[in-house]
Amino acid sequence: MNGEVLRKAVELAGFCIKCGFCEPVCPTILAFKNSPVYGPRGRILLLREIYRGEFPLNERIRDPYYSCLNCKACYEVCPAEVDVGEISSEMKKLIQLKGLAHALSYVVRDVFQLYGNPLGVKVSNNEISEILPRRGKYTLFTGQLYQLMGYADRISSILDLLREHPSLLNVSTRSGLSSIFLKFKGASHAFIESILCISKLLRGRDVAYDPSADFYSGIFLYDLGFEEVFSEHAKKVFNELKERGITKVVTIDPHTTYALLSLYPRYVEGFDIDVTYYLELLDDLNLKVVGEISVAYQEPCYLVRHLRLSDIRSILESVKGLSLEKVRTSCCGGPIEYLYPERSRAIAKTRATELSAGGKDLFITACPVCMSNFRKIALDPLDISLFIYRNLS
Amino acid sequence: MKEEIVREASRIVGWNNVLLAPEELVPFRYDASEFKGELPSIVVMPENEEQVSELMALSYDKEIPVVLRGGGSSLTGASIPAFPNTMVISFSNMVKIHEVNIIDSYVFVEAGVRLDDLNAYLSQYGYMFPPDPASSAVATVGGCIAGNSGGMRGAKFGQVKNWVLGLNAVLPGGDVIRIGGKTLKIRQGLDLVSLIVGSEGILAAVTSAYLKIWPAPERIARVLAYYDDLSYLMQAVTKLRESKLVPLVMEFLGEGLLDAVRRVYGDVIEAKGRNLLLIDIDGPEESLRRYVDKAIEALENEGLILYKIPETPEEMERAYLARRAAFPSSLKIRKKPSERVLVSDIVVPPSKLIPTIKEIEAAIDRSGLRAPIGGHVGDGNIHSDIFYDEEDEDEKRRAWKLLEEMAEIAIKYGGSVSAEHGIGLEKRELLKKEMKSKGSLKALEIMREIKKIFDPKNLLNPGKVI
Ligand SMILES: Cc1cc2nc3c(=O)[nH]c(=O)nc-3n(C[C@H](O)[C@H](O)[C@H](O)COP(=O)(O)OP(=O)(O)OC[C@H]3O[C@@H](n4cnc5c(N)ncnc54)[C@H](O)[C@@H]3O)c2cc1C
Repeated sequence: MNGEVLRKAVELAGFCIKCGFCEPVCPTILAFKNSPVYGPRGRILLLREIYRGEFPLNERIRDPYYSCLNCKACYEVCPAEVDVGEISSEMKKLIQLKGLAHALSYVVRDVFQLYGNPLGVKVSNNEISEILPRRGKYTLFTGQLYQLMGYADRISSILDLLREHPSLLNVSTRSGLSSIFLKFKGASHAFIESILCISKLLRGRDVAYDPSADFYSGIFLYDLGFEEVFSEHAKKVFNELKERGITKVVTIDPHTTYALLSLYPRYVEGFDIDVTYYLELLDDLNLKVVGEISVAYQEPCYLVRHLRLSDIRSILESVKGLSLEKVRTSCCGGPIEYLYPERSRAIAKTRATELSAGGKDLFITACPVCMSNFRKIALDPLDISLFIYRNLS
Repeated sequence: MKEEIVREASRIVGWNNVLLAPEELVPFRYDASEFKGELPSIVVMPENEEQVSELMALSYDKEIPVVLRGGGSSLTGASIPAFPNTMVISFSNMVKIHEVNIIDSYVFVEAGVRLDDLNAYLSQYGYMFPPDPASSAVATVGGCIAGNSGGMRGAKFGQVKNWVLGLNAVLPGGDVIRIGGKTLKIRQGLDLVSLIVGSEGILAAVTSAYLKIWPAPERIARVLAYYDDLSYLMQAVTKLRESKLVPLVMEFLGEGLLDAVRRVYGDVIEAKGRNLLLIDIDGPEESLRRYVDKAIEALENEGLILYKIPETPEEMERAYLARRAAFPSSLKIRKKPSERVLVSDIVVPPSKLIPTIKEIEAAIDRSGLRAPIGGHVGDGNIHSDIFYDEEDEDEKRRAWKLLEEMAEIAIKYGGSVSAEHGIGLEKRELLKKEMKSKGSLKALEIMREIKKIFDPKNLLNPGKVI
């Protein structure tokens, strides 16, 4: 099994010639003190040494792969089209199989298995039900990511505590710990507001909502390398949707959309649910702003690079009076917030500077993970749904 | 490595700028070549010249070999440790652009600045640093000075050596030298700047440089001309050179490379024609049409299949990217991941391109290997990517032999074994061969003596070049 995963990773890296074009665009190298093993070329070089048995398969190999954001910045510039995000995903699987992952990741898995989502919080979706009908051609599938990210600010403090006292993460105390997460109540309002806005935007477009058919996608489990747990969960979600006769779902965030569009078909045999990202249903928008406004837009990498979906940039560019600088897409650092909070914030800071986010009238994003991560560095991005909703003419 | 040395190095640059963990050291065993170096004992990333100087003093004092590292994109193993117990000094933290002076035509930069970043910065002023190796996204000022790099604009602007006005550098032992200056002309006794340029990190660590800059071309026209028969393409190159036009770029992609590039850039690369000649002509709006007509006249011969002039900026950019991506794209057509590539980098006087290419093609045929050719043909520089399976000893031997044969062909026509990639670990023997054929082994002796003066303990990038 180990050998198989390694071989697959090596095959994925096969055509890399170590030219290093990927290094200048990788957000993690810079955040990890310019150490190239925290960048695409370094990850491949380490992998090849592991494969040849020159570097031991021990816990030292963990951070280089777990720190990968899978943002595909490297893939975009790689002349040999090597996808280091995919390679890191394979390596995470291997690291999990060998039991070398972060203790914290096992907490996430345990909590997830107990409560159906990685934070163990109880997500309430009643307000959406008040906005959208019960039946329709499409069914809204929030994937609960906006809701969960609403708790992220609060949960950070306990994670910091766990990091400072790793002994708390002993296997014997893990399940006890899980219950601590349940104590968190009340998500941050900004995230709830986004979901409600999205729901309102979808009103009258044949989109229904059934709270009993709205599950967490399992994406974080996949990101942590728990392939089997993810795969089981994906099958379960598929069956639940099928049982309710749901054939077309509408997703609202980049990560859930990626899970359903790209991963579920890989892990669930016969997955035949039609998945549409909500902005694709809103192709008739007519937006107006008052006066002149300058906007910084954080383009979610999962949306544009993984999914090549919905050109929000052009929606914004078409608004009269709105000025938007062209800045290359780059990750906010959010995907590694849980395991490497400081590095993740460093990436957010660099990104905010690139976007001159602080100096614009509005800072917009379309991803709850970006939103949450920028909030940690005292910025307050506005979700694209709110911008659209407020400026519909 | 002794703890005392690690402690001292860390004191100099700060713990945050030290890499010691084994996994963090792994990438420094490699560059873009097929060589694998020794695992360094420590990597340090100084933030300024004083720190470089202290590190070089420490290395000297404790007799620790040092390898200097920029972007690590060397194709000849120049930036990897040839010996164990090495300290790598990486310039990734020295990325300041200190000053741009338009009147005096220079930019003053630190060694770790990447060329693309430098040019993005200069473009705000309507200027550029002309040498543009295809690796400019990753290659640094220090690496390009040490490598005397060339690039696509070499047809008009030559190599880095034409563009370095002054250098600040640290010698083994820690002494700092300031050579050349910020003036466009200078006579300072023996020209040490030229000695350091191209020295592949064996003489001194460049910390910052005054580089000459040039106004960015006012307008560029790009012409893509396709030929089936390579000798007709080379004939066009000769004609172009005779025409007194000095194209900004004159690049050719031979069959194997063109096929590889076509797969990704099929939108801008025509389906017909086995070989491509890409030229850029720059000039003021008013004269450009005339220049292009003149170029086309030179390109037209009975072997020309067709030519295209991309119109939109997007098309032009795509065509340029296609050329830049040629080498890496060719790697995608490898049959299996264990296939490796040796890159030949010969140069001949452009007037000898036709016979050179003929002989090279024959040598490739004899070798039975795949070795697509291409290059910066405007200045007589031909690259060939020689593929071999590293698990097949016989193929490997034949690949090295082909590399050597190509070098011999270059020498025969009055050229050289390396135009721009340098000697590194790869071409030491070939360099010897070239000097011997010129009856100039003495020159190598002088180089070795010079090395001793700069680096009496042979600590700086030992095992490379000479
Ligand atoms: C895809 C690809 C395309 C390429 N195309 C070209 C091309 O068109 N033209 C061309 O000329 N080359 C080309 N190269 C080769 C290479 O990229 C260049 O030679 C480049 O200049 C190396 O720069 P670097 O910063 O990566 O240097 P490195 O690889 O890090 O180092 C190269 C040499 O410079 C020394 N060095 C680095 N920094 C310093 C310093 N501060 N002071 C003193 N010595 C130093 C090193 O010790 C080493 O000997 C290409 C490489 C690749 C992978």
